[in-house]
Amino acid sequence: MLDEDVIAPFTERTGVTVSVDQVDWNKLNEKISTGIAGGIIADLIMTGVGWTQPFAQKGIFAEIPADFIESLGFDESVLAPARFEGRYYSLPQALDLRFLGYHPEMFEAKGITEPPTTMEELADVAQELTGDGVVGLDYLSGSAGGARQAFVFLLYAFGGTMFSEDGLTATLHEEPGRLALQWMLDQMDSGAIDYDLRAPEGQPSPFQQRKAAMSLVATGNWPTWQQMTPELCEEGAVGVFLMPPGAGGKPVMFQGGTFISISSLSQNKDAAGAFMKHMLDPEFLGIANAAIGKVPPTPDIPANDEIESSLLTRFALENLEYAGATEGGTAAYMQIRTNLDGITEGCLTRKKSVDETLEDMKSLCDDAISRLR
Amino acid sequence: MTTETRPEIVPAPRSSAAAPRTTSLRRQKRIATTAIMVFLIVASLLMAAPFLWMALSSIRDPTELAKVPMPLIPQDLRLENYTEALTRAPFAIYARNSLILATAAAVLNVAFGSACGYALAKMRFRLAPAIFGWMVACIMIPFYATVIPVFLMVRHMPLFGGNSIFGAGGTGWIDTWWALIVPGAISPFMVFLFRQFYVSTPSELIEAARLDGVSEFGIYTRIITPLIMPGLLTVALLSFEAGWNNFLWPLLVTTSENLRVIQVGISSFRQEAATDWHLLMAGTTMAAVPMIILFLIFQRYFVQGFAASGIK
Repeated sequence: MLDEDVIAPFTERTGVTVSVDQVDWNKLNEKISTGIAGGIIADLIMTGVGWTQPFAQKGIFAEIPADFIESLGFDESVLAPARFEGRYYSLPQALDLRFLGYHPEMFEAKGITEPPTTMEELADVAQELTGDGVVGLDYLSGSAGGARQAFVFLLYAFGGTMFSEDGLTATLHEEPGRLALQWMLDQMDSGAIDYDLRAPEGQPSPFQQRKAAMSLVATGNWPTWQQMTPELCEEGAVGVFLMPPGAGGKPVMFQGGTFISISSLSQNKDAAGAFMKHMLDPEFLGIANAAIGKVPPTPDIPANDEIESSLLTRFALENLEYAGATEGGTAAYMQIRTNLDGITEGCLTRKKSVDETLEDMKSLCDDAISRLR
Repeated sequence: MTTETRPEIVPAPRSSAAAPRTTSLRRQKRIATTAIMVFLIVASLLMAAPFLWMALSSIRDPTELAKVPMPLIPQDLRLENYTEALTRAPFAIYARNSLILATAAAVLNVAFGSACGYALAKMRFRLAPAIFGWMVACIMIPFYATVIPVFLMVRHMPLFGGNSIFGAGGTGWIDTWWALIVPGAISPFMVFLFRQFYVSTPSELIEAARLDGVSEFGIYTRIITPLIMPGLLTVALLSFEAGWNNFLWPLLVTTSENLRVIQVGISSFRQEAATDWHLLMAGTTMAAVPMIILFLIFQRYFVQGFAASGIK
């Protein structure tokens, strides 16, 4: 799809040939890191949220001119992960946004008329929906991210952040972090979240199987729903709402996705810049995102049937301004992200208390950040 | 008297007791054989289950893959999964590349590994134990610890890929067959394996050959190496398998589609947000078949080889 619908028009228009080096997502860090060590890296690099600051700090990503970014008209919420020390080093191309989904008929059966608007309400509703073989909220099955991302999402919902603005101080262990972990543990205690509720890879999620009344959902789930459980894609079959705020703030949406950067080592910076502009053209943003269930970073794209037919993408585009829950924010994040998963799991499996977990998170971040100095 | 007393020995009761004992022994043996057979069948099914599941899933419809519970036997045979997988990625090129890589790994490891193993086992020189110890120690170094140094060596290979004599200015062996093949041409584990095979061969043959005037290379190639045929096949098969299943290294050192190997190609069905399981299973089945066939053909030698090397 990328070759025919996105690259071919660019080559036709500019005469510049583009060769794609497709890399397994799980091995992307190894590919980029060895490339950096050897001084050989692609002209244009596609990474994820949380990757920009580490590679910008190492001088691998080239700065992107601010006037070009302003001309795109993207929302501030989707530009924040692209910044390092006040400058831009990447741009969002395909977002994977996460929020909460529910089965309307299960809400109706319990007389619930509106989605919850606070974390307390969410807990109450989840508990009310639990029973008769159904779990109120599928939050940890991994169908829309692992334990780390589940924690980060709640951290922002409770008004927290992972790091200070300059990325040199960890803040995830502060009060919002404690509230986020405790909230998950409380729901597990009440049975509203079942840690053991998982589906084997390749099988429908507990939410798709109607074993969960509400669930964390990602926009990228839509193609899977279409293939596995098409009935969920019918109008009105699923309801969606933003993660409610935990401290009287704004609701939030978790932001993952693909960001594009130009290599500072590139010998073809002009061509790479031209291709980046081409990829961020509204027409090609629509084409590239529609096929994979991802969300363009702006709603200002030409009409696209596939995007409009996806309830999840439509909802995400309407609420882009709330996409503020993002991973990363420090140049040391590549050393933190994988270990954070294990630490969060340790708390959810009761191997560590909330306080011990927060202390471990702080130590992990402090150690990694100290190596930057 | 003796003839009179002979009937008193009373063999009849003994034979009447031996008959049930024989029957009992036979029954015990039959039960034991049956138990072993049942155990082996169950164990075989358990071992084969993932492969059978993979093969069955490769011909399932995507909606059937999503059924809970998934039916054991595919309801509709969907062979289009294979054609679709072949259309979505150039599997013929990937398979060709994997075959070249695996064959080269097998040939080179047998050639270099046997030479090193023979030298360490049969040649008398002062550093042999130290070199052997170093080889064994090298087995314990994980691939991840060496990947960047090896990558740098490959990237800075002098006079290749536009590099100067000092290895600068170009890309060296990156994105070439050299980068794919050369780093895997010898492995300390294969040297260790060969050394174990050669140790068990009679040194008297070497002495006799020397007396007969056979050169050292002749002794290695014509006298001793033919004695370790299971070892040669074992190393060849292991190296072929390692080359065929190699994923990370080819991913790191290649960027061109025409140098990509089958394992890297298969990973394209697995994306960040979703996985095409039916295509992934079809691709994996296609990738697994050559190895299964090779193992079926050579399994006898393979097991013999491990048994003879003392690893089993």
